[in-house]
Amino acid sequence: MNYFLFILKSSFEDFRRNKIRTFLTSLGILIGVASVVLLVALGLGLKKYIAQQFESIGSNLLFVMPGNLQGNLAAASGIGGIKFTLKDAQKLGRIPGITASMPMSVQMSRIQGETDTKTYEVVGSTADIFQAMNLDIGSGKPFTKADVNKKSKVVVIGSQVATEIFASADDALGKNLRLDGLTYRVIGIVKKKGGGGIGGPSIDAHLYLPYSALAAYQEDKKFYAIYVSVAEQNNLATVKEEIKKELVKEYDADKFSVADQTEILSIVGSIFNILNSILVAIAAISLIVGGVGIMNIMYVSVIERIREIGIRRAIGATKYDILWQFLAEAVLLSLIGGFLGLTLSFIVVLALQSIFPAYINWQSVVLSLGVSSLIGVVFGVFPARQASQLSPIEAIRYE
Amino acid sequence: MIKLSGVSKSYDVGGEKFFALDNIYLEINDGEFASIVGPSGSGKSTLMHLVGLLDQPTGGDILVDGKNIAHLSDVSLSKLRNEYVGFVFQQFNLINKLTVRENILLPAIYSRKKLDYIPDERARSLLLRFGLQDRIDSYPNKISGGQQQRVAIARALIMKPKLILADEPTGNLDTKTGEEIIKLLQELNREENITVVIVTHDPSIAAKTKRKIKIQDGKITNN
Repeated sequence: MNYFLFILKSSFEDFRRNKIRTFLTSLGILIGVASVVLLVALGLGLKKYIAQQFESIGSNLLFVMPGNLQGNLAAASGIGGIKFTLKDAQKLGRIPGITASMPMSVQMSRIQGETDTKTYEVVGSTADIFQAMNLDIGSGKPFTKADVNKKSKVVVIGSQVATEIFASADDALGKNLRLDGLTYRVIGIVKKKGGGGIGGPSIDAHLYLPYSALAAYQEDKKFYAIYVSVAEQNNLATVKEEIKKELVKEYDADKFSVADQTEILSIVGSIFNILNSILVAIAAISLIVGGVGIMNIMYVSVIERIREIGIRRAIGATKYDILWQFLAEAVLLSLIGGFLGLTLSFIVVLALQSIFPAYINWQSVVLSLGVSSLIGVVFGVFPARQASQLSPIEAIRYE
Repeated sequence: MIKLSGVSKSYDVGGEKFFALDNIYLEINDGEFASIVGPSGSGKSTLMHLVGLLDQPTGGDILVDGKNIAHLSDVSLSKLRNEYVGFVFQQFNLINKLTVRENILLPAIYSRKKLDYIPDERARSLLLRFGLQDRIDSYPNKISGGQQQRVAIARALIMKPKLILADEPTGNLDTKTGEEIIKLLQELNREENITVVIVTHDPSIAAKTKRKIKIQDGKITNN
């Protein structure tokens, strides 16, 4: 019999004889691997989800936002940044190569419909927004430039809004809804898209109004951001520079940012990466705890098998033979936990996939199995060494 | 084949040196059938452990085929134990979770030597010779003591050793079975010229050996 196979076989033989102990020992690794792999899978899913949402809006958009996106994360979220004026938006609109410059007033508000009241993201902008953000109107019509000028109390709602706070999607058209104490008439419903805003709610859960009709706008006449639609995608970089040049006359260069989709995506991505790494690191602690569990059991196993070790030594096993035997057992225990944990994560991810695009990449499979074997080696080597250092004569006399 | 010259084995007991073996000169020659006899605590087991290379002396030299083993590495010592010596113990010392066949084959698994025979075939023929062929896949705790000791002898023989060391091989067996085991060892000595050394406190077993090495208080009293 091959030596390597023999070691494997005798390890599995021992596991078979101690099924419950084997399972409980590898449970720590199971939980650790499952939580790490699942968290990575959820993080990957989240990033994919956000990317999908971004792709659903126009790719030749530039986002002019407060704060320095290259700098700290708090600024990137817009907290404590500047606000833009209508004049800023108009000035940007005159830059060559820009087809539309849309001031954006964004707020989360309670919307009272016919059947229900819910919170949605409300976007106040100009009539250009529909074309710039690829918003197709399913029924009714979008609001117009004239509506903006006349401050018409009209609203275009997302399909999800239509179904959630009205009796039915078809029913919503022409009905009224209330926002910030004012009444608006639904004049259009956006076709179901499935995408969404910047890591926020689905694009189907938005309401679009003439900015001039928003009560909030009337307070300070300022905008959270300006979205700029560029005619040629190759032109994005030059237009970006032009925008900066224009705005720098008004604001400090580090008080605002001009970003395109890929930049925003990478910023959002890096925020999630940091959060995800922290979570994964916390989960990884359970792997260490699992490793200590294995070490503990391996020490017990060495004591239980002192006589067996003595017999093996008497008939010709070297220290290394004994070391390998116990090390192999520790690694196999850990790998069993790793495999079970991986299986569990596959099942959970499979179950999740209908509601969330979580997925397991090959890196986390390789890494989790690699880490489990490593834990087996690290925590198995001390008990295995102890076993190998036993004097044959004392081991065989052990009662 | 094995020569002990001025060998002693001492332990520190409460700051004082206790000599389990004291200045032993002993030579065991090829093809001998010998016994080491003495009361319990006389040092006969310690002597066997030294001869069997399970333990190292604290003084003196042990030569195996003229080679001093004092400076051999663990790997070399293990190799010698594996190929040169076969052990038979009072407690049989079979591994209970392995089958009879696996127990017998265990030394061959640890062997680094290229064998000129197939271990599995040798295991089968040994079991056939000892009348245990239908116990090949049994576990040691499912067979009788006499059968276990024969399996242990088969395990000792699998590597075709030059020397068999038997430590009280009949101690856990009834008289009749014990006699059968001694007969088997005599047969191996006679027919295959294997050197056999039996450690015993039983004079009737010692009487069956050609040479008796008497030991008392760590010293050989006759030789």
